[in-house]
Amino acid sequence: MSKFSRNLCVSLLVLPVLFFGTGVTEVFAGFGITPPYVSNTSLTRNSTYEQQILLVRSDANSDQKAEISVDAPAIQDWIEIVEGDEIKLPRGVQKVPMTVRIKVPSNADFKDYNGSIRIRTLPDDGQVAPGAVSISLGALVDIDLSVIDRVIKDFRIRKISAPDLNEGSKFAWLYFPGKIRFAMLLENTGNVDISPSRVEFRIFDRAGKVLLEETQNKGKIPKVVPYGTETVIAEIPTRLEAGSYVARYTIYNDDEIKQEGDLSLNVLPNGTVQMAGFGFSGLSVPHKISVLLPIFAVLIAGLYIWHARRKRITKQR
Amino acid sequence: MSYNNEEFPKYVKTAGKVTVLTAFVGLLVFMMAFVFDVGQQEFNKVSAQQATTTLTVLNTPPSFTIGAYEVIESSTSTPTNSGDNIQWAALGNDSNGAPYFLLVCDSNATPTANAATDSGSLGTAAPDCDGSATQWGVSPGTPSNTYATVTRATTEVSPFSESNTWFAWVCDDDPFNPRCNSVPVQGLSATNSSPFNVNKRPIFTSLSNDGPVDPAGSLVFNSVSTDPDTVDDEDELFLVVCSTNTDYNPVTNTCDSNFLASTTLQTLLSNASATYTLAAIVQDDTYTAYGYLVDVHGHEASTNPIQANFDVNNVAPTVLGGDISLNGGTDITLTEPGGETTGFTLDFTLRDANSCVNTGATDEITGYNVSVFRSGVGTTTCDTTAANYDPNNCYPSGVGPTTWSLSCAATSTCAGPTQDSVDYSCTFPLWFVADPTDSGPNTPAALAAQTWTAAVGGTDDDSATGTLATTSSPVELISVSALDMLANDIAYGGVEPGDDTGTLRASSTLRNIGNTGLDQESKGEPMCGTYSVSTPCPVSASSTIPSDQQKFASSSLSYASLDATILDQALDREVELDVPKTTSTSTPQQGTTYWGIAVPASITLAGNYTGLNTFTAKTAEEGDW
Repeated sequence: MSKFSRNLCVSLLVLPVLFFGTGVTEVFAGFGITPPYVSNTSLTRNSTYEQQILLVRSDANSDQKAEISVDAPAIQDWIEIVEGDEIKLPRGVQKVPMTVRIKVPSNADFKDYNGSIRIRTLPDDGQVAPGAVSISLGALVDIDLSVIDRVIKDFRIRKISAPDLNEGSKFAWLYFPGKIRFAMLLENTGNVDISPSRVEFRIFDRAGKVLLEETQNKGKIPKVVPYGTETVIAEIPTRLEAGSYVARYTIYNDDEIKQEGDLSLNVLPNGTVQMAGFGFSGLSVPHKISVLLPIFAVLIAGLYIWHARRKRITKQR
Repeated sequence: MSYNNEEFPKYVKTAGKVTVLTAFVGLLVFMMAFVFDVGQQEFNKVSAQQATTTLTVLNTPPSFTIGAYEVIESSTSTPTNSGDNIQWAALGNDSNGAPYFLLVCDSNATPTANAATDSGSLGTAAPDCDGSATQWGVSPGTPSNTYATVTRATTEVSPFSESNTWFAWVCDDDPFNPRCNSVPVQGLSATNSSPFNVNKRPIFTSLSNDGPVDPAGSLVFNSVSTDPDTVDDEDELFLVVCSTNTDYNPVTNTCDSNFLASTTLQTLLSNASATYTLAAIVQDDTYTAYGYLVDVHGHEASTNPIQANFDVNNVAPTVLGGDISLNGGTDITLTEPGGETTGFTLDFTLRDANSCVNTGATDEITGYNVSVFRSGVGTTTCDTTAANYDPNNCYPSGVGPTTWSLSCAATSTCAGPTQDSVDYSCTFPLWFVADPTDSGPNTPAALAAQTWTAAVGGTDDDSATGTLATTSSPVELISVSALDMLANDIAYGGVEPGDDTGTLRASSTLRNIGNTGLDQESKGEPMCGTYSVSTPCPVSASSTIPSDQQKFASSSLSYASLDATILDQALDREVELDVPKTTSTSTPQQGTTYWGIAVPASITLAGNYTGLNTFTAKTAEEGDW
């Protein structure tokens, strides 16, 4: 064996470990989460809070999976990933939801809790590039929770609308006002069921200069559960005739104004819209009395007659 | 029946005798007086002459059975408009049964009754007023005991003045002795008596208006006008304005249709004006207007109508904040790391007081200006013009679709000139660098206090641009932590067993493709020649390199440096890369991690070793964005 051959053999034995990176400077498919936190500072005992986190990829040309691990020792038992600890990220699907459910136990201490949820993406087939230190991407979800012992009544209005409505109508001497169905997309940001305490409308002419009517909702507005977001409707009577108006609305949470603004309001001739107006509840007080009084009178008369006949029958016996 | 005279008193028995005696004595006295005094002279004359009788029975004048009166009251309060007739009536009686005339004069000078040519022409020779008087009129010959009427058309010239006295007679035309009654009549009551009043037409010189005017605005029509009447002061004037010259009704003194305006004040004696309040929705155009001047007595000016057309201004479209819905009220979530997330929505309603259609039957509302921005930027900066485009916080429509692909379409149709609104629905994308405003634990307070909002303004067919209005319901833009790596592996190169890389010479480059500041956590699997995710490396001193042989840091330290972080298989270890939030859509912020490795001396298996390191994006602390 020549000296060169001998040295080559030694080198192969002594220098066995070689790391080869591909060295390809191509951009790896990006990965992210939104929002990168689970946050609720108004949790109560026995409450359940769910938050959705989207797992997003910049390039969804391969099947992947996401491994979920919760790192929140103090509240590990509270936290559930609804989709499980492993979430598929199918090829072609660019965003996948992950739902974090927080169940606060009845004996939870009233304090702040922190932790994290780690998400790691992996090839769904488990294969990595051989002979290299491959890279997997992940993201960290911050957990920021507070359990409190007080009631928080708060909400946020995300969207409002007031569809076209029919003008009021007359039946005999009774005037039934038109019904504004003021829709509010309400997010309950407190920890008890809630709805706006009242909604006020100040309705102006089309130019917004002349105040024509002030009115507010009749009846109760449906409530939204804690942490929920739903559309609720306030029914508001109006006696305006058909026309185009500007409505200045004010939404109250008790005495606090949660939102106010202007929106257009179109009152159409009666019968234009297939939507019922106000019934008895929309009548003015005098009109209500004018309906109820005769009814009560008849009832009382009926009761009197019935009582008198019973008395007579009893005597005859 | 019989009486017993003996039973009556004595004086009753003599009563009849005294009466007869008294009457007889009286008669004798009368006879004596007649014969010796009166009777002697009279009887002598009669007996001396021949007797003939002549008698002329004179014509007696007719008389009023019902005195003359104004058929329609003509007074200061209700005068007779010039050109209208003044009429008198009376009921006369002629004792001869002859026809009579009703004569009305302006003075009480005795009129002249005229004689008919013969008795067969009675009722043909009307009487005349005195030569110094004005004769208002005389009736035709009227049969006795029927009403006679006198009618005279009034004028604004002599002999008529504003107030005119009158006296009425009834006369006949007896061929021999025509006569009028001696005392003239001036009416029966206060409301139908002399004088009669003639109301002159008001003088209408010109008409103008203070236009142009906006829809729903007030337009004042001003006239140059006076009233020539002076009795009981000038007459109040009224201006009536119609949009046509065919709809004015002189009876009702208003427009039967197409009414625009009329004077409402009751005290204008000159230069009457009228205010027209325009409808809320009026197309911009020139509109015809015709003014009619009329006085308080309903007398129109002779120059009626005078035309004074007016212009309605073009006004810019408007938007109400409550009519702007950004992303349907749902928070904005960016789901395209490193790219543009599409499909966000913006719905709004544009309103134009000139209606949605112009007079040319094409669209009045022709376009929109939109900007979507972080609230702290405001519409002053993000004013829809291209110059203020910033993918971090301001997306103006003026930048054009090649830069910002805003796509809007009308979702309602224009039914006609009484409709003032058009609904639009838009979709738009946002870049991954758009600033978050949510209340995440690491979101900078200055951003968390803000929202994302939308401003909308409209443009019309005259290129008028409306003021921007912002939505009443802003939304949050949610943080997204996202990363990618510039290379998909860590290239350590060759290392002998028992040796290390000397320095942290390998590197990995993290790119921040979300909208937060980023730090990085890492952990790694042991390395071996057979590693795969499903088959981790076996525990082997000769063929598996433990995770903790890898070290990393944010700078190229010596492998032996204590500042280098040791990689762990189970625990994520953070390296404070402090990669700021990316602000450029084309050049993401980057952070480099330097890596080194040691190959334990116990490794005897030469070859390529495979491993897997995990890079976890961690939202950086607020101060590191």
